[in-house]
Amino acid sequence: MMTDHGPNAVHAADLHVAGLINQSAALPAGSIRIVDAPAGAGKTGLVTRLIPAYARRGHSVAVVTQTNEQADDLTRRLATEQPRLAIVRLVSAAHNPSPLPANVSLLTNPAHAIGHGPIVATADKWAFSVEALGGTRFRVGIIDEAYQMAGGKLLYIADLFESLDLVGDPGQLSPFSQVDTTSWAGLAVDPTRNAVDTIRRHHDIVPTCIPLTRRLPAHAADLIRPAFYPTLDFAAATALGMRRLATDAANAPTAIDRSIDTALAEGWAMLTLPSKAVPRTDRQLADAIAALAVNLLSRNPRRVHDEHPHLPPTITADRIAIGASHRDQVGSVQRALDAAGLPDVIVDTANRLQGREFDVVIAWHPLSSQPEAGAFHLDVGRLCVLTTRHRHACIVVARAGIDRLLDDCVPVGEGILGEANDRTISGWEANTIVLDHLQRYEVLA
Amino acid sequence: MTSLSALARIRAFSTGVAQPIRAKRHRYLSSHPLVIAYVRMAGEPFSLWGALIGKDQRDPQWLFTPDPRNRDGQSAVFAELASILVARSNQSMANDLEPLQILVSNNTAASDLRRFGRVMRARYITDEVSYAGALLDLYAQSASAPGSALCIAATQALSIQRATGQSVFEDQNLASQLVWWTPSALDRINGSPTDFASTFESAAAAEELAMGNLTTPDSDRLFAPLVERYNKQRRNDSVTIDIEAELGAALRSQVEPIWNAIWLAHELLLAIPQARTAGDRWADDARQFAMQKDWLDRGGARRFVDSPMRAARVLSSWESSQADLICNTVIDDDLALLEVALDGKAVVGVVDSVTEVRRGRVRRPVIVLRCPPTETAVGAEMWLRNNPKVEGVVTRIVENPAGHFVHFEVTAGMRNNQMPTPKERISFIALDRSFFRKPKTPTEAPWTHTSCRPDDLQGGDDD
Amino acid sequence: MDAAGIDKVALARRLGAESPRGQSPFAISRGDQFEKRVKRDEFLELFALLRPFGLDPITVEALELPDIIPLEGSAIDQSLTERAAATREALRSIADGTAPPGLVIDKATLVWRIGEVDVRLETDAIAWWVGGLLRVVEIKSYPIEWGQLAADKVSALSWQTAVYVAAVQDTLRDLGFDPALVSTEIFLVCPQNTGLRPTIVAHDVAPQLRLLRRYELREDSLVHIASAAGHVSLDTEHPADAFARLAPSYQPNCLSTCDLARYCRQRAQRVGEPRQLGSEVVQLTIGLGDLARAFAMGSSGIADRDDDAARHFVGLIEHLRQIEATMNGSAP
Repeated sequence: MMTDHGPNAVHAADLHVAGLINQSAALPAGSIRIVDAPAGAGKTGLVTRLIPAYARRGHSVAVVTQTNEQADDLTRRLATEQPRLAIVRLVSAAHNPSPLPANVSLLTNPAHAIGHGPIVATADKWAFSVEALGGTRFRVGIIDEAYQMAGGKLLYIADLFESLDLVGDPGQLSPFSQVDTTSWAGLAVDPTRNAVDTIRRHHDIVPTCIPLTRRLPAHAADLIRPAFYPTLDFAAATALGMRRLATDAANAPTAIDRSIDTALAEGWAMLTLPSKAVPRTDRQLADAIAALAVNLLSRNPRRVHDEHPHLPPTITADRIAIGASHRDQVGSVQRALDAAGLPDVIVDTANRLQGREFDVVIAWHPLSSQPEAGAFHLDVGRLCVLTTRHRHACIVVARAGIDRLLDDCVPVGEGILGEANDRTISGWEANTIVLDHLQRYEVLA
Repeated sequence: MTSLSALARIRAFSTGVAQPIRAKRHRYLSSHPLVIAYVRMAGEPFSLWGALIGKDQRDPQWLFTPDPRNRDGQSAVFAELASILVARSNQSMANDLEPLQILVSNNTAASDLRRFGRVMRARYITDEVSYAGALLDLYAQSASAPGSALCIAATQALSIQRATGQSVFEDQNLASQLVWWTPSALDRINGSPTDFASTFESAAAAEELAMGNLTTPDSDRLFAPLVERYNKQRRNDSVTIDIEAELGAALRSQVEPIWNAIWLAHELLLAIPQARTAGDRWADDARQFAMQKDWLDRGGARRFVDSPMRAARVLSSWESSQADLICNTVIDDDLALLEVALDGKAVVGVVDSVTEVRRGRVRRPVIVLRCPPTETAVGAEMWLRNNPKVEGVVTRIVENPAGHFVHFEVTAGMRNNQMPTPKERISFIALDRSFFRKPKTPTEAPWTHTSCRPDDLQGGDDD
Repeated sequence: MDAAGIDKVALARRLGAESPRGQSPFAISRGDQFEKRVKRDEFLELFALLRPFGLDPITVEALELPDIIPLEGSAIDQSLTERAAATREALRSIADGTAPPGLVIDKATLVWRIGEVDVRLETDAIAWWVGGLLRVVEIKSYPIEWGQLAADKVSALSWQTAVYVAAVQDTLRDLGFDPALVSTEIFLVCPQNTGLRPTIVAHDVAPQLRLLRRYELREDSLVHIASAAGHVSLDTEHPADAFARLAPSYQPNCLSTCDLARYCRQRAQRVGEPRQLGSEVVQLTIGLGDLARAFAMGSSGIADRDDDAARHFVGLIEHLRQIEATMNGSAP
């Protein structure tokens, strides 16, 4: 395993990405590449570099995203990086994105989109476009967030592409359905299986990995890798100590202050409140989270070391995020923040924080005061999102007792024949690994 | 489950009586469905040992083979089942102009229909048996289709209506679920009076009955020597009539409680008023069924395992049926509305005033609703319950001593003559509605979904 | 308790809540019949199934423990101990290279130590051939139906065989060899579809194995259960007390896996334990303790105590009443 954080890791990742881009020139029709990217690896950056590389060769390129927001973001970034590249953003009539750069044409009719540069659209829009395209095939299809796409959706559009690049983060939530899918469980035809797994059921393809997390600091990478990406090999862009925040010292340090000090020194802290059976909107926990944000901001937090040149020297409210699992917990924290006079700190659920980056994240542990650890709470994706949004430090807040809860709720497993990965078991393991690690940085309230 | 059903479960636990969580029945129920009560032999998932079948509780047909491991005997039972099924199905289409509705005890029974369907096709007994096998497969798959009423599992239909004081897991036993509905359930099922101090005790006693698909292990210990004696006599070419009769009577006594329980469930369900849109869903069922039956009638085959195309198509059609069903349930059923309102997905209130707001060149109606405190936030997109075409967005929430007021700006679907008036009670719903348009499914699997790896999924029945 | 081999049916009977389960004679006879078929004619069908994975049916030998060490009525315990010793020797010969080029140990018997308890495990077979790894073979008589097997069956067999793999690993380590000689991918042999023709599926139990190992590292429940169960001897005068010391937390799906579940359920019903009604009821009643209290507060709408949990619950009830009142027009 690579543990050499810092410039060497960046260099290795740059070489890898450059290799992928150079290779793309010579890819024959019928080829498929799968690129795994850990959290903060710069996945979108890879996609925005692949597109012009193909376009320069005269290859027709179709880009598939999972949501309109992803498509808009990607288009904007691509258009800004490649101001002379003509880009088509293909949308349904119902979608009105905010203004896009001048080199982007916003079109609804797929037939008019052909031959005007790379086309970016959601998987759904592509599916509705197949007929109108009347047999047109693209030399290359690039699927972004491929682990979030259901194989049943790829089925509708795969024949549009002569070759495929699938890029995605295997630590994220998989597609799921509310209806009964047992009649396909474990079979290759299961339409809810993600696009990468679906393809790998039929084709022998070994994914490659971007061996870097640009966002996470070294101490975070060391935990995240075994917990959420046991099969991937990557390191952090900065070595230990290369990123640092500082604050003024607290006069009479409370548990809140000590949590902040620990997090700034070690990258992690876990503030543990006494065990108590309370509803999941736990007011005391919400108050503790608000107090953490208030104290941190009142102690003049500033950036001491950070290789990113454009980040502000002072840590302001908008560089801090608070993440929880449920909407009502978000409401609980919001009320506590309002009461503390700090309405500007970003509070949201894990789902909505996905894809965003902050300096410090305060996370409401998904298992805090839970009477049971069900599949929802054990989900790897949720904990992964909460613990991988920060550049500097992450403070996890919980009621005591999660270790016992995990012991009592060992999953029986999903029970899918011939399936080497079990999401419930790996979720349990990830939770256990993260908790074991965080306990080293525990502060008792 | 939701807060409402959890509360109902607690109430049922404390009172010993199942508590309503729906005011209407949302699936069509025929007054004479085809009831199939049966048992398999333990360890033999593809066996059909004994079954009571019929559209009239007092007049069932009894299918039985002394040892389903014997191929000939088993094939004869499947042939009988096939002829009943095909005759009943055709009769239903011809006389009632609707598909035959099948009613079974629980979800396991519904998935057993799929097993019977598969074995009836795999063994190629006769064309009729294969055809009936395909029909059964169709019924079994429809049991998972949201809102479909072609094949109803009684336990599931009951648990949609009322919460019992036990878990979902225990509710899978039909007799044990029924004792929460009516104190006389066990008497009706057993055909003799019983006496228990509490619903817990009746439920525990009900669990002793074979209610799913297997005889109980205890009774198997009694059957085993009989089956052995039968096989011995058969091998010796002795007359087996007596032993067959003895075994048949013993087995039938295990199937009769299942038969009675399904009909009791039918009676209880039929007494619940049917929801407004249940008929529309049944019409959908009829259309789907006619299409698939037509395909089979013209000699079409039904695959043992779905193709990737069919799987994708079925999934997307189920997902939109599911969304339709949930929305229509909330529209048709006050308890369902209460349930979603309690979970913050609907706002129930009294119209306080209707005003207008100017947005560029258009004017939009704003409905101000006085309502109980709600978790709904500004920006929430909702639609009007009594006129689902009307869409709106929450633009303001005001709390003052006079109460709680939510402002809805109507964004689509409102005609002038449909404007609600003050004091009218209305509700806005935040549930996702399905999108009706679906992309066309490819006729062949694309290159990503095909491989040269062996596919052994089309197997038959090879000993 | 399963791990420690306690006879739960017998315990349940003593506790006065006998389960209606137990295995049907028909199921038992099917199991025997299928295993016989797979192993008949000197393992003809089993060897054919293993051939695509690299086994050479010509050079393979079978170590038939049932023939060498039969299980005699009164001396079963002694025989199993002998089988375990023979298995251990066979594993040694495979690991040190003195075994024939292919070896299938029929009814390989393993000893696995959890905490203070030795558990004896009887596999269906362990197979090995040159160029391959040791593979645990599990024979089940339920069919794989068109590529599928129900989730509860897959889970159960995954845990069962993961324990076998763990025991083989420990035995190898104990003998001074590399535990990685045994594959975490087991072979499952089942009837295919509607008939009795056997089919084979390779199934990886690495996730279950990792969990077992983590349990040991954390010295938690598995060890606790096993050692606590060690105190529950069936000769105890007060089995109910001894059982209560194990403090099992009853939940509805225990009914499908444990013979003691009906006893636990009676107790849960008596004390009004929320867990017996499922996880949504558990969520709704966090901090309330028992169902009777929840019911009382739900009926009166009055919090009986001034704590977060009671306030939260009564708030929900109040909300429900307000919505109801608005719907039926009785709101103020």
